[in-house]
Amino acid sequence: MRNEKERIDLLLEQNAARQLAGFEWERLNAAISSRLDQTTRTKTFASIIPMALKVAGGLAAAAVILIAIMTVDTPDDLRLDNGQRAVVRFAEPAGTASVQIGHTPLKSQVFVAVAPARSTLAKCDVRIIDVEDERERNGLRPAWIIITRPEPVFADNGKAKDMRDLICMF
Amino acid sequence: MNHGPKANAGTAARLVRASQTGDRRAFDELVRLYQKRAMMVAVRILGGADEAAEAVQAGFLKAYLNIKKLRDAEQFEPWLLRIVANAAISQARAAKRRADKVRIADCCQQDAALSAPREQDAQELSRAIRKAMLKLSKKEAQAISLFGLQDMSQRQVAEIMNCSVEAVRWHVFNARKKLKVLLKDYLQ
Repeated sequence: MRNEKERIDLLLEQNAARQLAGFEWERLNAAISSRLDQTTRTKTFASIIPMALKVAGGLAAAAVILIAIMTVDTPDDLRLDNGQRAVVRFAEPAGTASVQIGHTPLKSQVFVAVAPARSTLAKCDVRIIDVEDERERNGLRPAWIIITRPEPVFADNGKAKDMRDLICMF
Repeated sequence: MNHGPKANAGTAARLVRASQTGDRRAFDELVRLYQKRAMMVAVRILGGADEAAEAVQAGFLKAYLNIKKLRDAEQFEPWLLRIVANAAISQARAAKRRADKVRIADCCQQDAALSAPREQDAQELSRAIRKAMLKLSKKEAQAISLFGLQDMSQRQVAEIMNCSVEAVRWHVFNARKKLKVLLKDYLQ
């Protein structure tokens, strides 16, 4: 078995020796170098195109953002569900919060009844805003919130529905 | 037979690191250092020098494109030889697929390589070796092609093949056993 193994190895060795006798190594070297050059050129070209596309895309995106900033409503001019506009200002950067609004019998303080009388609480997602109102009642300044969730669970769906989104809290 | 000098590990590692930073000249130097050993591996799988040169070119190209992925610069040689061996095996299989298509068209063509040779010229032997290698598993072909390389220890072959030394011996044993049958006409 050992002899046979060695003969197999010898055969492979002999074939390799025969095949590589007089082999032109410089030619192989040049062929590899040429393929590498070609690949490098392709690679460079391929890397330039995405870079140019990225730059163009970045410029386009910046232009779109600029136009959007110039045309979109600012927080000072929010549109309510009923198409009315309410001039408001944010006391803090726009954000959302989930609050529980206690039911109050003083309907005049609340534009919309967010909960029917039988319920004491209605849960809404809101955005807190500030209107720089100087009015005070019982030492408290009014704070305005916009309900950003479409409708409180127990919201009034009656005539006042269209104004459900704006609430003044004392 | 000169399998190409085993490159100085420190020099090779320095060239690899330079290549990883995009130094083309450094990679060209690596090509010069390792092309003979790469050819030895490819010839043992593909039989012929021309076919082997194709596989070696493909191997170096792949190595060039992926050299940044090589974490240990000292491991360039086993990494490269694995790439070349795989390129040679893929090339042999692709050639076989093409030949099979032709054979379907020409039903009278004989399977010359595995039949008894009338004349054992270099061309015929190289074809027979290539055909025989295709009968081996990928691991067996890798093992037998790397095993005969000068200055290549069994441990290094195991590292290249990502398996144990025992597994390498097993693959070499099986490869020799199969080749002994497939190439019996050339062993007489």
